[in-house]
Order: sequence, then structure tokens, then C-alpha cells
Amino acid sequence: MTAAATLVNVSKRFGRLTALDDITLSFRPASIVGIVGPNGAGKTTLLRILAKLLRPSAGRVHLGDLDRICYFGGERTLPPSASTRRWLSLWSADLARQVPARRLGLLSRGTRQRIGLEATLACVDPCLVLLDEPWEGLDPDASRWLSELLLCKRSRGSTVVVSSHRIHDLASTCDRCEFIVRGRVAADSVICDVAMSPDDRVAKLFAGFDEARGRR
Amino acid sequence: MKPKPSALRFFFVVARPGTGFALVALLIVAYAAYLSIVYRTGVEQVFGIALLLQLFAASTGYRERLRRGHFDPILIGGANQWRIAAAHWAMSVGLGLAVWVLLGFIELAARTGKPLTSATPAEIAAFLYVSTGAWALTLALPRYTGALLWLVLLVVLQWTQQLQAMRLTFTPVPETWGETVRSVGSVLVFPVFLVLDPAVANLSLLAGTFAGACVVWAIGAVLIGRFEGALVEDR
Repeated sequence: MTAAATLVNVSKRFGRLTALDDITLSFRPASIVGIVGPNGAGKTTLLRILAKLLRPSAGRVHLGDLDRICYFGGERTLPPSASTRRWLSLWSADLARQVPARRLGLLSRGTRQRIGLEATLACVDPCLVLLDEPWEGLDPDASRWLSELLLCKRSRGSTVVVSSHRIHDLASTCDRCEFIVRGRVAADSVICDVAMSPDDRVAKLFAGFDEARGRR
Repeated sequence: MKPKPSALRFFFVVARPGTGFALVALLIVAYAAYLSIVYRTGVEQVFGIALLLQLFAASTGYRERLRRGHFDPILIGGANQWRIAAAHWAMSVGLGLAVWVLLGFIELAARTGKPLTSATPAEIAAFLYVSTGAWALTLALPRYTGALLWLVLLVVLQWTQQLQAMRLTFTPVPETWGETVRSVGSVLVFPVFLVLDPAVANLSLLAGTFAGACVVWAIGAVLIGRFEGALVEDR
């Protein structure tokens, strides 16, 4: 099966800082992959390279048959001076009608995050969905909405790559998690088996994270 | 879900000039209308103010907002740098252009019998160059910085009396290549030279200014292609 996206020996340097160091990863179609790692590990850089917002310093990025890429870098990337309605109308007139016309900068963090996610996830399936810390700032209802929407995207053939620290949310949605520490893939990927109980999946992910950090 | 919006529409929503600028633009147009109604003349003086407004309005900046991720949606999946540059430039110069056109209509309505200031090739060349120069100068800098730097340069040149020297070497009707190069160079530093007596500026001077604007625009487009969308906190 052709991969939806592949990174081959990808490195990214910002001056003397190496953000990604010789990363090779492959993402299957119709799957949800979690990217886990401590702050500054290179998760955001990896997603931005996949979204073609950054050029790798070395290595290659192959995108498969999915020519649509949807990326959301978090509420901090929304332009604060733009009107909510005008912003959403760029993507969906229906969504734009459902929100009050206020400047994005005046909304709460969680509301901005939800608006950004709604605009991004309105994309037509199948597509490559790249989300950076999508559960940040969301209340439990919105978190559940997001997790269910990601599972729905996968069932429609989309490939979802999501970076997060929220192990519980990742455990409930991801088919596989990759651990990145200091710009490198730090441990074997953890397969989240649907047959396992949610608690076991969480425990398995925490164990994988500890291994990646060299704590085991 | 609509496909990716047009770059121009996107930049209009995300990076258009603020309400303050729209108010100043309105005041300038109102002042021109007042002059044309009360005195039936004097509108041409307002074009200088409009040029100053445009210097700041076109200094929208690009890289700073790129690094905050504000332009992510239009750049995802790779984008044509020339298309992005054209859209960003058009959005940046749009407000000043609207003011310029409105001033032209006011001048037309005043029926002074003189050629329209807004439509003389020299005024258009100066407007185009100021717009493009301020836009390109600010691409890598925070908003308005390009306009401020340009003004600081002019103050320094005035202080050191270089501006007077340039004024002496400037001729609106250059006859030799040397004169043309010196005059075009002077206009590219201080475009107001071109509008002091717009009716007499000759073709080579105008062509030089238009070419200068095109080169500056191309440099801006290349810069946009070279900027990377690394978020500020990633570095």
C-alpha cells in the first residue's frame, strides 16, 4: 500500500540548532498517528515540513496520492485582528453563519482553538490532516468532539498526523504513536491495539514515552 | 468546504490595513473634497499627503506574520511565490490606490481645466514606486518599519545636505545617459522630485522609475519565496 506521506532521512537546522535529525517515518493511508515528545523535541517542525511550510535542510518528503493537505498549528496561529466570520467564510459559508462577528483576538483561547479546528477539519476527505496540539485549550465536550471527528476522518480515508502531550486523548484515537526526543525518533513506535482496554492503551503509551526519554 | 481561497481574498481578511488607516484615508478624501468645493482648486496639494499615507499603508510587513503562522492556510502544500507576492502587494497598496482614485474623481468633479494630477504619468510613476518600495522594504521587518526607515534616510540626507545635491543634479528632462541615471537614482531615493513638476518629466525618466518599481517588486517576490514559515518559538 502506498504511504500517504513519507519522510526519508529528514533533517532541519535553524542556524546552529538542529530541530530534526535524520528522521525517517511513514504514514499509512486512513490512519491516525500521534507524534509524542517533550517540549522542543521537534514535533511542530516535523508537522510544518509535512505541510510544506518549511523546507528540510536534508532528506526528502514524499506525499502520496492525497493532494489535499489540511494543517492547523494551534490557536496562536490565528490572526487576532481578523473577524471570526470573515475568517471562517474563507473556508465555509455555513460555519461563518454560525458564529458571532467578533475579532479572533477577543475570543477565549478554547473558542479560538475550536474555530481553527472547525475550519481545518471542514476539508473534503480523503486528505492529509496535520494537527499541532489540537486538544490544547479545549473543554471536555470539545475534546470529545475532536476525537470523534478524527476517527470519522480516518473512516473516510483521511490520514491524520497529530502531535500532542495528552496521552489519554492520543490513546483514545491513535493507531500508532511515534516518540521524538531532541529531533530524533527515540524509540520504537507504539501500536495502539483496538482490542486493548483504554487504560492499557494509556499505560502502554506512558511506558513508550518513558522509554523514549531513557527512563526505563 | 471551499477549496483554498484566493490569495488576494485571504490577505484581505488577514492583513488589510487597520481602521485607523481607513479613517486617515477618509480624512484625506474629505479634505480634498472640501478644497474642491470651497476653492475649486488646491486638490493637487493633497496628493503629497496621499503619497505619505501610502508610504505607511503599504508598509504592511510579511515575515513577522509569517512566523506567527498567520499565513499558514494559504501557504500549506507549497504556494507560488509570485502569486503570493502579487496578492500581498495588491492588498498592501489597495487602500492608498483607492484614495488616489477618489482624489482623481474629486479633481475631475472640480473641473479646473488643468490636466488631472492623479493621471499624469509622473504622478502615477511616483505613486507606484513609493507603494512598491515601502512594501518591499518592510517585507522582512515589522509593520511600518520600512516607511520609517525611508523617512529616516531622507532626514539624514537632508541633514548632510545630500538631498540638496541630488536636487541640483536632478533634471526632469535628462538628455544624456549620465543625466538619466543620476535623475532616476535621485527619484528612486526621493520620488517627490518627480512630482514637483510632473508635466515635464520625460519618457526616459518615467521608464527608469517604472523599471525601478518592477525591479523592487521582483526583489520582494524573491524574498517572499526565501522566507520560511518557522514559528517564532521554534527557533
